[in-house]
Amino acid sequence: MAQVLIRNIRKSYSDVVALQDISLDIPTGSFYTLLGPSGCGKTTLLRTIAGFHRQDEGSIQVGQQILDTVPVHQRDIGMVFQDYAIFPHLSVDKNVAFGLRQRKVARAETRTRVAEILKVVQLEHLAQRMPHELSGGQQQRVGLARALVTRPKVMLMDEPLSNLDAQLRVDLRKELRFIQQELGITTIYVTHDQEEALEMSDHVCVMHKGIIQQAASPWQIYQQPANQFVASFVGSNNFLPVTVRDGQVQICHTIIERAPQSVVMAGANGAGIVAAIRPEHIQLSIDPHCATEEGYINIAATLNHQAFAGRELRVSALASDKTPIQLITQPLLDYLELPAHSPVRLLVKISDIGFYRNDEGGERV
Amino acid sequence: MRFTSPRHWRADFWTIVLFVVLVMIAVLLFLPIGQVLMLSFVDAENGNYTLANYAKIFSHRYYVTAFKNTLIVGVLGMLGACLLGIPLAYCMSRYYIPGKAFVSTLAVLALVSPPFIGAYAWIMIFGANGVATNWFKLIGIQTPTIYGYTGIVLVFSLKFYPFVYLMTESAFTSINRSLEEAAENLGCTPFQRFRKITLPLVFPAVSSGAILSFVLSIADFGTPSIIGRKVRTLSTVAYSQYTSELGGPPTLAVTVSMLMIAISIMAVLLQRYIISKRRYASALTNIASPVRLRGYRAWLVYGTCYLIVLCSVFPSLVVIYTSFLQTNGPVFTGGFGLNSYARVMHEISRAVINSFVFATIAVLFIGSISGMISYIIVRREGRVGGMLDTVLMVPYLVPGIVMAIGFVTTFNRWPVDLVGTAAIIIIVVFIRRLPYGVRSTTASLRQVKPSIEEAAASLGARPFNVFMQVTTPLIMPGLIAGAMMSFITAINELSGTLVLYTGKTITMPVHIYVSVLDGEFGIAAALSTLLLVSTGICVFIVFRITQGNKSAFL
Repeated sequence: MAQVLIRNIRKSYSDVVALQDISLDIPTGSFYTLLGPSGCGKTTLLRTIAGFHRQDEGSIQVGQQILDTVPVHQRDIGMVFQDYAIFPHLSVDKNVAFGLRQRKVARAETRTRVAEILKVVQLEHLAQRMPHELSGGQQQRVGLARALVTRPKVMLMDEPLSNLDAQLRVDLRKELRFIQQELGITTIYVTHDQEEALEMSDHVCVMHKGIIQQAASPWQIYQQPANQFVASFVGSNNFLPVTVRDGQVQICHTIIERAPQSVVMAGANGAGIVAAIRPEHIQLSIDPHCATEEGYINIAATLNHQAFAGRELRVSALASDKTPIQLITQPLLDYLELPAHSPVRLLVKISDIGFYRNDEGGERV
Repeated sequence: MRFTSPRHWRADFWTIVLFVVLVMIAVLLFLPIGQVLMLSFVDAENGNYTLANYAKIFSHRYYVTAFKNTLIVGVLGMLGACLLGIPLAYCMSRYYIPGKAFVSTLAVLALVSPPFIGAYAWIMIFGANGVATNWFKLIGIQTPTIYGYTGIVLVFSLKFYPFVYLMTESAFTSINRSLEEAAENLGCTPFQRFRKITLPLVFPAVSSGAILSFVLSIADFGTPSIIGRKVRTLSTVAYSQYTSELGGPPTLAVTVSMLMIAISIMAVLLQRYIISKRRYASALTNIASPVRLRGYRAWLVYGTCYLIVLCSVFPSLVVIYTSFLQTNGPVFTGGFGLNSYARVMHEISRAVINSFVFATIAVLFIGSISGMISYIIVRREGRVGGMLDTVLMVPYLVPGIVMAIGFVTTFNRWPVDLVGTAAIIIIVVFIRRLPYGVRSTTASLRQVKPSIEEAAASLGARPFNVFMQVTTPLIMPGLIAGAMMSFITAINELSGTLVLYTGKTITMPVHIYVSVLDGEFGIAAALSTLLLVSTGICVFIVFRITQGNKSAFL
């Protein structure tokens, strides 16, 4: 068990910069997820920690040890691979014992530790099988057991569930998280699946173009995205243009009463601003004259299209200034059967609205 | 907080291996070739640098004729190989042929058997005192002579067509059938369709096989030397020049050698140029399934296939048959007997032992290093791997006789004097056959996912242990197939050994060659049979390991 400190890591390939000045503190025993679209640098960072790549600059410290010049095999870091990477020529127990054999662990101890860990991943009945006789999920359990049995200081997981069926993926999430908490092992997990990241992690680091966009708890990542990229990548959002005039903040011809002062200030200084509203934060009212509650804004709109998706109804509306707005409501037949172009009201809690600068950085205001 | 990262170069396992491999290639490959190149510019009389050797070679009729002959037999051999190989490939891939596996196995056997056996077997049949010649003479027919161009081209065609066949067959099988159907649908007759669609699509494969046949034809020494009579080629000229220059620097022999290398390189460059303009993406859908023919067309197709492969293994059969004929000295006395084998065992057991020992040692070295070289080619980042891959093409382009002359002229004095030793034969065989091993293991290694090796490393395995405990077991089939292929080519090697051997280090192919020149056909046949049997065993092992994948033999 150890904390991982990453300081100012840079890595570039011949023509692309893969990692730009990455610094992270990963606390002991935490489940830390690197989340981002493909090509964002998350896998490169993970493989750099593992030692498969050498960073151009910067430093990685695990526990008290600086790893920069330590070769892969001396790092004592466990790794679980996307394609399982099970040794096809070795049976399950020999796969799991491989790391112990490298460490010259005594035979009797090896046997007990292998048996123990196979029990943890629920594979004790398959110890003698060859890898090709196992399903994908079973192979990934072998991969997990094989890495865990050496009791590494840190576990790295590179999209370990992405090659599995949807249902199995959901089941294994819980199991992975359970084992991680049970053993209390520091885990760095790479995924592009935001649901997975939010559900499993203590901390999530969102990356894009080799830069850390936000490193925070799953709650903060979702509720208080640090910038426009995080707001759009994690969950979905309506981005609406904001006008600030004479100290008044407006979206879609609607004045936001008591808008945050920072927005007024930024707007007054001439910065372009957008508002982000999550579809599930918008209430639909079919009464065109419905009153505005305290702390809410009330946007006039017309219905455009409704799509019934089982447990929810996806509605697209057009605000009076022709801005399209997506929202999600309960699947009520009343809503579904409304004719197109019906006038409606969209109610949004002002505290649910995020404001971002409309520039390249897209920082939260 | 900011850590400082000490960055000093550390010699990891693969850096050391790479270094050793590069040194090995420099010393065993480029040094001898460089020596040949340099000597070709040296005046044998006074040791000054000169272009006179080249001037002599391009003006003297003796050499110019040999140059022309080489090109003629090379091109005709190549055309002959295509003429046999393409129809066979088409029939085998498109039609149901009874005993298909048998036919292709015979083609592979023809491919791996030594060409000089073919040459002297045809002499025993159609030569001046051949069986068929005498038989035709009895009924009053004068058969055309087998010596000269006819014999050389016949042997080359029957020897090298399997390259064209094997390469083209897989191309024929992978053509999308829809393309041909579209052509027919647009109004092509079957023949037009073949000429305008099918043939162009398999052209890259055909050209690869054809160029390989050409390069091997011009490098071959045994065939023109045994059956060529007055038709001299560059390889026979280089050899006789080398033997006549013994004592002094073999400047003319090496100049002829350079000419041979130049022709090979040009041929390969030409082929690359041709292929670079024709790259077809192939979708592996709608593969044609073999058609079952009926009536006379069936017999025509079956007959063609069997005629081609039987003709090509016919010399081997004749040799095996001859080896069991009763002899008294060089004379066949009629009836069967094991006389020839008895003589082999008593008089020339040294050649037999040498052949097996030399080939085995060379192959053990090849086996132990080819996996590591493949690892560098496939796994190491950067340009080094690709460079190594290209460099290992060089032994294919340098005829054995040239390599041998390079070694004799390089390692003939202090500190490394290898002339006349067994080591020099083993090393030449090793470096010449190394590419077979490396190619086979490289193909295997490309099938292994790198994450498997990364997993081993992250579990604490040192690079050497990763290689031995994970990589090696996974590429074992390729390693064994490569070793078998190296062994086949090593034990059948003639031209290089001929320059290097002494009485003590004589090998079976050399002894066969000498016996044929002496008219000792019985001994030659017995030795050849031994070679054929050991070759056959290796082929069988490769077939078992690769599950009948014939491309392992290319």
